[in-house]
Amino acid sequence: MSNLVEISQVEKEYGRKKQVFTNLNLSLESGKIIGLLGPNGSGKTTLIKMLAGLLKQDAGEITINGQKVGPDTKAVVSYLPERTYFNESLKIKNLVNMFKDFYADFDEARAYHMMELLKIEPEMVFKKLSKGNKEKVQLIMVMSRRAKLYLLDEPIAGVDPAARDYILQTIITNYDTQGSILISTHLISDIENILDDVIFVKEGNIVCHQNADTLRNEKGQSVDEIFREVFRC
Amino acid sequence: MLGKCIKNEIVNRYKPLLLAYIVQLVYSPIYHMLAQIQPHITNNYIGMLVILLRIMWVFINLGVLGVVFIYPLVDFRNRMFKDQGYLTNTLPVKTSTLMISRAITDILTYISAAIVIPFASCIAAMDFSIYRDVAHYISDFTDSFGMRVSPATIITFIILIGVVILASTMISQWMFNAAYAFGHSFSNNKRAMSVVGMILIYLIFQVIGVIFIYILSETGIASEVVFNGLDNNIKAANNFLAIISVFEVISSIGCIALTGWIVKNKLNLE
Repeated sequence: MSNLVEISQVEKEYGRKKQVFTNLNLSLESGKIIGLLGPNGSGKTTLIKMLAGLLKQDAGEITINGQKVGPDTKAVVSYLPERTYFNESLKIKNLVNMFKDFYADFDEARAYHMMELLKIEPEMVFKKLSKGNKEKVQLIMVMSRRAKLYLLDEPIAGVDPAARDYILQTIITNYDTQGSILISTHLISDIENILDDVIFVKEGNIVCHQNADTLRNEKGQSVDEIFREVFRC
Repeated sequence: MLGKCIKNEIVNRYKPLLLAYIVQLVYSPIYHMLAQIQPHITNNYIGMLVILLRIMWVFINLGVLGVVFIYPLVDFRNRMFKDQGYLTNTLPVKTSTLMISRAITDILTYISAAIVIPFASCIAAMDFSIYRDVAHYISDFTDSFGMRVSPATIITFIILIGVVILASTMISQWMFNAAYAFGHSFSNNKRAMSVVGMILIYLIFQVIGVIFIYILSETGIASEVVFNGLDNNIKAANNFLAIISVFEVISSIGCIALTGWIVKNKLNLE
């Protein structure tokens, strides 16, 4: 499989006091579900934001599908942040129309079908939805795209176990298998069964990048147990 | 993509504006009615209530002006640098296209305000003679020069005045946007750096303006018009306004481009 994402000698800092990445090198293959695992403040969200085009690296190069991060890569990257990022005064149908306008790979029928299963009507105002339903709608919109790279930043944080199962099921059944999913989380036990590869990030450094099954066989432990050992305080 | 971006801008911004206009247009005949009945009210309490209701008209107009001029600044902040910025800045659209679509929507907003606000005022006064009297006023104004000035000259004058006012408003708006974008390119002290940015950008444009006026005076265009032509030659005034309007339009484009450059190269959505 070819490398979908190439990160080469990337450096990123916030101000003078906080160096996030120094000489980061990473490659991600197509067609994989990759867990980006690490404790709070390890650089997971920063990495995802650089891939999404929300942050610029201070040095180095990032390419997605052979192109530098920009409008062309944003057309093939589907990003779900860990916050509510829609205009809450809009109706669901306005949001769907916007995604349809801007993303050629957006499947409108799939989006409406998934929302119908949650009993969410197109005429509903986004603000009126419950917190859980808002998160589900955002996930549905993101996963209704046939993207080459899905970036999901903490998709199961702050939700109840039933909602977590729904989110994971939605991810598995709706993503384009030709593409890759990069999921950042620190709730590993819930997610490790769906992962093909895992990346451990510690203080801005990649300490492990391996196939999940191979890692489990080598260590004789679950990924969650390995994570707890690696990141023991 | 520009059309889609403009559509997206309008969808995201039209509700407060429409609401403000509806409130203003609905209240304007009520204001007129209150003005008519007030002289006939003998009860002090009812009279006080009517006065308060008439004062509310002032606040409604202030509210409309706030939506027209301040809401776009708030919307720029929210949709570029707050949570909604995670959506706006990940759209597969060039930053320049985003900025141009915002600028076009700003222009449409100002034009709509220039139509609705005077119209609502006319309803409140129940006096639409200004629309009819403007033509008579201009005719008297030109007659005072002892010569008839062609309608084309008058129309050009009005259009150029409009362009200058519109461009000046855009410059103010986008200086704020550029300053805010500048401030948010820093990891710390964003608000303070936004203020610093505003001061820097304002000074830069003041310097450019001074240089421009100096060039105008050195070439003799300004002196000829200001000291000799403006009062007596409306065509010379049109020439001067044309130069000013070009300068203002270029300055407003410069502000928009500066904002776009900062957002494209220094975006720092932490």
